[in-house]
Amino acid sequence: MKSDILATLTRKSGDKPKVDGDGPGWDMPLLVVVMMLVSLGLVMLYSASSVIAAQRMGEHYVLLSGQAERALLGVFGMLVALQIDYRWYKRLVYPILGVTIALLVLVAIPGIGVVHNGARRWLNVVGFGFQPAEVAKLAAVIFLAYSISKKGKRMGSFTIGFLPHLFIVGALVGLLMLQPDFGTSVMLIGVMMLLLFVSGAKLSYLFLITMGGAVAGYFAISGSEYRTQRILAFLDPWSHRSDIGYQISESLIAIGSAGLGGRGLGQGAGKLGYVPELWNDFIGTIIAEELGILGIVFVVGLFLVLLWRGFRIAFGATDSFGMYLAFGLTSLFALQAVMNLFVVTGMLPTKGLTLPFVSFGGTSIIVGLYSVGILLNISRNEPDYWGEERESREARKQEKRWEKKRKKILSRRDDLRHH
Amino acid sequence: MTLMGDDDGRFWLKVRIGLIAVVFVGSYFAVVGRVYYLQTVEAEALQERTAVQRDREVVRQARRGDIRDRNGVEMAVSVEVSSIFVRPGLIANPAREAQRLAPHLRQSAEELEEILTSDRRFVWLKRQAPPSVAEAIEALDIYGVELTTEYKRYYPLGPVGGQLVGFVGIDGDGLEGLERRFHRELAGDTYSMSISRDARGRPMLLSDTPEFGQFEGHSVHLTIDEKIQRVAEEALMEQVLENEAIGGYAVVVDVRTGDILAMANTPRFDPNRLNDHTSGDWRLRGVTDTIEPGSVFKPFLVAAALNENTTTLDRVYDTKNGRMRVGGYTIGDVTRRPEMTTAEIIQRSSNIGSYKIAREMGRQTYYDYVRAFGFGQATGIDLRGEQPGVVWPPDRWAEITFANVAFGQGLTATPLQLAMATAALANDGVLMRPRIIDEIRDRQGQTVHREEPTMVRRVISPEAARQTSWAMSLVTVPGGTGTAGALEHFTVAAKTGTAQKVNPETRRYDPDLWVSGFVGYAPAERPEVAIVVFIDEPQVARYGGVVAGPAFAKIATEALARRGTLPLPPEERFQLGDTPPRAVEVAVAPPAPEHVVVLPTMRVFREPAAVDGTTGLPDFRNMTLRQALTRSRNLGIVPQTNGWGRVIDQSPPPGTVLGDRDSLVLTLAPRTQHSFLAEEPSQGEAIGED
Repeated sequence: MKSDILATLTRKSGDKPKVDGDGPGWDMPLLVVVMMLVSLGLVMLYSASSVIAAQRMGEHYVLLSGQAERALLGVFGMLVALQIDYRWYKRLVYPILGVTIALLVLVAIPGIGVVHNGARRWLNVVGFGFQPAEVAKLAAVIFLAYSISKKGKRMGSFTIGFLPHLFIVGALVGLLMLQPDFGTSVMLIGVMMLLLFVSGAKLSYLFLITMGGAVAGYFAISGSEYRTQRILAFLDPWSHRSDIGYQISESLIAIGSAGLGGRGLGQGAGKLGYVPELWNDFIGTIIAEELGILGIVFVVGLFLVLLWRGFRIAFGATDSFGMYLAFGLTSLFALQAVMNLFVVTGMLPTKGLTLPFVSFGGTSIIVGLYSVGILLNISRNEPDYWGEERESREARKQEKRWEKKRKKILSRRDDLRHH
Repeated sequence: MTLMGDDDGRFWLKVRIGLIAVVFVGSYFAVVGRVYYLQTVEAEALQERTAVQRDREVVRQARRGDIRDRNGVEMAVSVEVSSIFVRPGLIANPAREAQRLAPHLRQSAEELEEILTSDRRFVWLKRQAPPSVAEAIEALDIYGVELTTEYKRYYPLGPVGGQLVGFVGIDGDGLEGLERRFHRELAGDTYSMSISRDARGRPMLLSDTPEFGQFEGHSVHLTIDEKIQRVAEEALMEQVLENEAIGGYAVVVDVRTGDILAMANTPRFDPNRLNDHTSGDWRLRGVTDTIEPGSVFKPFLVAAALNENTTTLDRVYDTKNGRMRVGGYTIGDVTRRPEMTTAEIIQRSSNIGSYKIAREMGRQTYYDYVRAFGFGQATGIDLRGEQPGVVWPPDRWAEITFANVAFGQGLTATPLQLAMATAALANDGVLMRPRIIDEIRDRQGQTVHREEPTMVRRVISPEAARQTSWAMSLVTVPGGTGTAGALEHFTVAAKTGTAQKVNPETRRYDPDLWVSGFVGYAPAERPEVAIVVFIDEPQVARYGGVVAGPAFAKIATEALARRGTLPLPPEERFQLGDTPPRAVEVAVAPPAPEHVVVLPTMRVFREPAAVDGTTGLPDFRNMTLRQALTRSRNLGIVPQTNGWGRVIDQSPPPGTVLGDRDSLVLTLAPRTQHSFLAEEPSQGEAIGED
């Protein structure tokens, strides 16, 4: 009883807990929107992959059933995350960061990391391909939220509010570029910038990072024939149509030639091998091709609702860690979705980013759904039982200690008495 | 909780988050806007780019039907093969791809590179490639090089029946023979389907796969017996080689139905090896070539005379010791005798006797019989290039011509006509229309069309036919000219012939050019098959009995064996010894075949008195449909017409005065407009301009 009163007292007015009898206690619209994205993803995945799967593996639903299994695993992870108080991530931030870095180092070691399409990105975990980069995104957001919320008003300073974040994220990006994973690196830097901006870092510093990032990006691009080609293909897909611009030009053809109404579900032609990785990074292509403009409006609408609910959860969070965490995770999804759709429609050069919840990819959907679980947990606005009970817990400990001490003293007194 | 307490900080935080939200929302709208732009403004341009790489509508020809013999043995079948083509515009690296392709194709890398760099949209690399080549090229997996399935025509029997079956072009058009004649039935339909192609151009995902089979062509079942055909060709070949002849013909006919069991000629023709042959090789010479029949014609004369009762088998003629002058020319016999009976005239092939028999019958009557036996007109087999032969009308015969025509010179006929006329003697005097098609069946084996045996007309009475058979049987017994054609267990009714040929340069009969013939049927008492064999320009020997007789015997043996014909008991066989020919009894007529179609009008011979009757009906025969209609309309008659093309018969006959209630029936050939349209109009069939 005592703790309840304490909890009520510590809670700020206006940040009322949403536990008001009926209602699940967490943000239902977010859950619905995410489940709709996952379902749409499975449908489009089947449409996109069945032909190739049937041709290469003999079964048209191979990719679908694999992805459905992982989505199920992700939903399970989401339910677990829903039950774990998000504040634990704050308390365990350094172990999490440590494990993440260890995984990134591990995947960089030849022989352990599995190479696919020229990048060493996968760890083989009991037969499943596991991408540490997806975990790195979550870990980076947790670290940034923790660090920013801890520093509070000192965020304005360069050494305290700026350098540590840059250093940690820079280390992660460095490890990612070993794979290399340019897309995730860009994502990490982007999310960091957003979080720093929101937390009140000086714009001049952000500008500095932007400049630095631009220079680093330039070297990253010019140092790699492959990336240079991608930029050229982005600028003029048609003259590179037979090689590097093939994917993007076929994607544009598939989207454009379908017309506003789309070809109808299952009727797309892009999947006949024209658009490589159609079920993966280019799932947006088949949505636009088969479902037309309405399909894209639908997907974009779902992401907008996700953005809205995510930011709402951030605003409603009881502590600043929860707020930054919610904001960071939401931005992560929103940013990745925007960048993916920009790539698909030829507004950004290709870099290998999935459409969250929709694209094929096991780690991506499992970590993504787990992150949604975190968001939903934040939305519950549960009291920090652990934190609140700290006093009583410590008091109990103290009491135990005193009891021990007392017994000791008493026993010693008895000894003395008997002597 | 420090931040939370700071309302000012919280305000700016909200502003900054809001700002980011706005940027995100803007980006999302940009995506929607971009897709809208791509799908409206750019749609057309992008669609055009699509069209370059994807064929959506594909028109294909269904599988062509088979041609089979009377027992279902395949004579022509279509097999699936791959054809390889290239879309040069899609080839990224022509030089390299040419190098890769060259080992699999019979072309040099340079030639291929030229093809690959051409600005044509579509070039065949290899039509109907062998499977190994197709597989190898498919394995190269070159973008822009594609495979498609086509049908290749294959003739399992090779040269057997080659000219008859004919062949198709590489695109499956029937070009010659029955392939051409029945192209419409065999070809099947084309079907179009919406087909999607993957990035490599392979057809995929047939959105609504048609039931290909339903478009498949019909199969044509012939009356040919492949075994008899083979023996006929081989026997013919043997005689041609042995006698150093330039060619030969053989036709085997089922006498009851008019079924053509075999039609062979040399040189042989293998439609599988078209390139090894010249156009002369694939002519079906049995219908396209005409010969002067020579002495094999004598049985028709005798049969006509017997039918007209102007002679009997035992009537004796003065054969003038084998020499007789006719109109300034001398005709002679090989066997010189002072006199012969009619039977002996057949047996020993007397020209003088024949002339005398003909003279007694009269020119016009004889001519009418010649026409009635089917000479000088198409047989109705309806094969391209069929020649009607030439028989001049009797008013243009000089006396020597009359004599010549009496023993088969001075007129021309195709081997098929001779076979059909011979079969008429065997068929109790009834001429049948040659029947080459038994049935046309659809892909499920259901009969869609059946050619019924068709009777053209009765030419002579059964009695006259039987007496002629008896006389012809004398030819193959000792003393006759055709003993080489005799069979061990059967009586063979036959007639040999050694016809003189006109030298095309001198336009006169050449003493060194001959056509040796042997026509006949067996068993003579109850005939089943009629066979004619002609060897053209034999060099080693010349008498028909020697040159053509052995081939006749081989073919007859095979044909009778194939049909399971049993030898007749001795009491039913002709007594050819001293029995007076008069005593030949007409045995029980063999059962007529079922389904015989009798042409609705029967030919009745012209009454000499009514030839130019001014009040009677005109002779519509040989008029085109239009001519006949115009003519009858002028007479105020609306005729009932039966068929298309030319009038072959009319009822009532010319010269008849048409009563008020009578109607005029004209029978035309070909029978159907369908068969009429199937052929390009030839001189015999055109609905011509007047």
